[in-house]
Amino acid sequence: MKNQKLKKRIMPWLFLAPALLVYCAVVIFPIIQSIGFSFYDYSGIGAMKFSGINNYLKIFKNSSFRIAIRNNIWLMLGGTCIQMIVGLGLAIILSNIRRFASTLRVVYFVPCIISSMAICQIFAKMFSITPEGVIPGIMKLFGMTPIAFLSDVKWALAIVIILDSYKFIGMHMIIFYTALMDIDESVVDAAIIDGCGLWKMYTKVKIPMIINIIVAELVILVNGTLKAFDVSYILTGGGPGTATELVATYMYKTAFTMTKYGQASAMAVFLAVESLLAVGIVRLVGNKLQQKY
Amino acid sequence: MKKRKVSSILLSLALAASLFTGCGGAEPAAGTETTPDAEVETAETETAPDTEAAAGDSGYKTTGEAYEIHYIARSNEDGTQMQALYKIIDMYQKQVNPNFSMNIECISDQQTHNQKIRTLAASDELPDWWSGDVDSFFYELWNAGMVANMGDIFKELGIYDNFYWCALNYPSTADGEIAGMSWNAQGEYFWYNKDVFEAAGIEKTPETFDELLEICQKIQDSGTTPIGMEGQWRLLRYLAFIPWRLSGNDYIDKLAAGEAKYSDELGIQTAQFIADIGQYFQEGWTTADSSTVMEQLKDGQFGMYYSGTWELPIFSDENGELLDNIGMFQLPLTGEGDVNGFADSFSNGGAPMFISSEAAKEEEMMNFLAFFWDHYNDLCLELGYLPPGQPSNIDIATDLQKELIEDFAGVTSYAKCWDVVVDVATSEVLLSETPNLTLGNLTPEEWAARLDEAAAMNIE
Repeated sequence: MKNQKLKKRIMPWLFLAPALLVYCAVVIFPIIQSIGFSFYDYSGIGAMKFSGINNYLKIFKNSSFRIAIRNNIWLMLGGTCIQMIVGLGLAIILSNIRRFASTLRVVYFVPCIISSMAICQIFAKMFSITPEGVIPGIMKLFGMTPIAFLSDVKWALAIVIILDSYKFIGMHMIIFYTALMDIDESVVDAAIIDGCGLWKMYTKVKIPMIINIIVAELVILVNGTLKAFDVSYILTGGGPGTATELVATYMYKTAFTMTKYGQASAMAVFLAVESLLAVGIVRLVGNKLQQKY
Repeated sequence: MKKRKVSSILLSLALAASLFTGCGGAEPAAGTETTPDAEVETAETETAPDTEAAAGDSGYKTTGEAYEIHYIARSNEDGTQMQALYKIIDMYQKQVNPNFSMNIECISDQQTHNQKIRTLAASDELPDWWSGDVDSFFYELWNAGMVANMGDIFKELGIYDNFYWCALNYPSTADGEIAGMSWNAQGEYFWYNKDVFEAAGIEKTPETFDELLEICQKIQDSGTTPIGMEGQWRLLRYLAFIPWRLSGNDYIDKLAAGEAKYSDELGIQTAQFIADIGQYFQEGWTTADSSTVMEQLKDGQFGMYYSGTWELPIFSDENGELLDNIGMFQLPLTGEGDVNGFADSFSNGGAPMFISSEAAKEEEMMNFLAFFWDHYNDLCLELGYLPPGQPSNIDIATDLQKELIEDFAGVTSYAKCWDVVVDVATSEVLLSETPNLTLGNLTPEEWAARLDEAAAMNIE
């Protein structure tokens, strides 16, 4: 009897052990190592020098890093709003369409499966002033003066936010769509019998019923946008100047261009803490929302 | 509850870990091309004769054993130096050692290339050969004894004196050791479209920077974009023009050593020049690419383009002479207080190549290098470029090549590239902030303050 109990306790851990070992080796250990690196000066060659919290002090004194944080916050706010609103909006429209719904789902999902490199190259050509791309061409057609969106500090970050959002909108749309389609038909029927119109159907019935999915999506979006890297790095390289520099792109440059691995590790730790804090706040708000509905 | 907390922390950390893994799993960067060495190897192995006989026939030394050189080049796959290298590998396999091969990775994008080399160096996995610059990162490798002394190699091969002075000395350390190998003889010029100049009523090329700005205004008034621009590194050349003319390399050397400031009078003067000339670049230049810009210059969409003699094949006809509508002029002077003349400008040997100290110990690598330098200079001429050393037969050069080689052979001082001289971290700030001057996003004073801040943080 005692043996059976012990077996029951040990068995799950035995099954978990291989995955846990791999997880520790590729996830936990690198994180601990990175935290360790952040207290050293290291260029990749020669000995590491212990520098205490110097790397943390240096990164916060660095104006480029502070700009990167500011840009990242804009990207998080803009990207989250766009992806959440457009994704949910498309899902609502799709859930009300009977014909071609599956075709449209695929069409909207396509940007998710195209590599960031391809998307950025396509848009770089579209925005190009010389040789003239599609967008300046259209602007001219409407009598407007073409704008070099990617070279203009006033526009570059907005374009990065839009493209980063465009890439993932399809995925969020699918998640919302699935959640909406999962709502029990009887609930919808009862609401209709009670005289519920389309607006009220969504604001009072359907959206409150998928609030847990919305909160989960918020967590994914906030975390994803805080770590955004590829669109900014490929499309503008963080420029012009530092206009589209993000924490992740600046961290990458600090490590692999400037070979300041200690400072880059400090940035990675900052990014991890920042993500944890943001996700924590979102979850807190989310829990309150879930309780309300 | 406690267990839940622990698992929450673990999961949160996992979330953070994706930051690190995300970078590692990135797609290959733009401009990265890998040449499968198999291609070079297999084609030749079938046709190559017996090793010993081949070595004997050719008269070149070889171990005859299988040997592979791993080279990470900062070049296009179809760049002349690569074309010449492939040709020589082919010849070496056929004539000397069929078991020799090279695994060549071409990464044309400078930043991507440098990042790869720096990452490999950090994990002690440097290739046998790699391109680079004699910058602050290079000195760490050099001081750690990881790079072979190229001067010693050239002396051992008996080719030291065959190089042109600038090509030999460009990749040298501060104390005069030859650390790298130049691939070309390169002089930098303004290339201009004669038709655009004529249409703007410009009769002669500028001799001072003031005249250059006047010419730009005339071209703009005639409805054409005065200067085709591309690449942050190229903008740093513009940044260096006035300090080079007024102080030689003194100002940049002092900046790199922390003995001068970007906010000094000369720094503000050069930043103002960038702000002034930047208004004549095409709109959206920060995302332009060089091949398109050069085509646009040829088509008359731009008046001028600053670049080097490595563009000769682009601006030459099938006989190796400049296209009818293309001309070139040297770097102007300031007109007052210049410490050097027209002949002193940006001249170099291209991105130097370094050899790891381990690879330099390999006998077959040295055998290949000896064979390589017996053929490379002549091949450069055949392919339309300027060789870093004296060719065996100058008669195969075109008149233009002869003229440019003569200029290059007479070079006794050259302007240093700012992005190479300052430390790599400040260089990154220079590269990212200087375009802001041309775009009107920073005033010269703001730019200088930003650079001084970076230099203070990075110079130890």
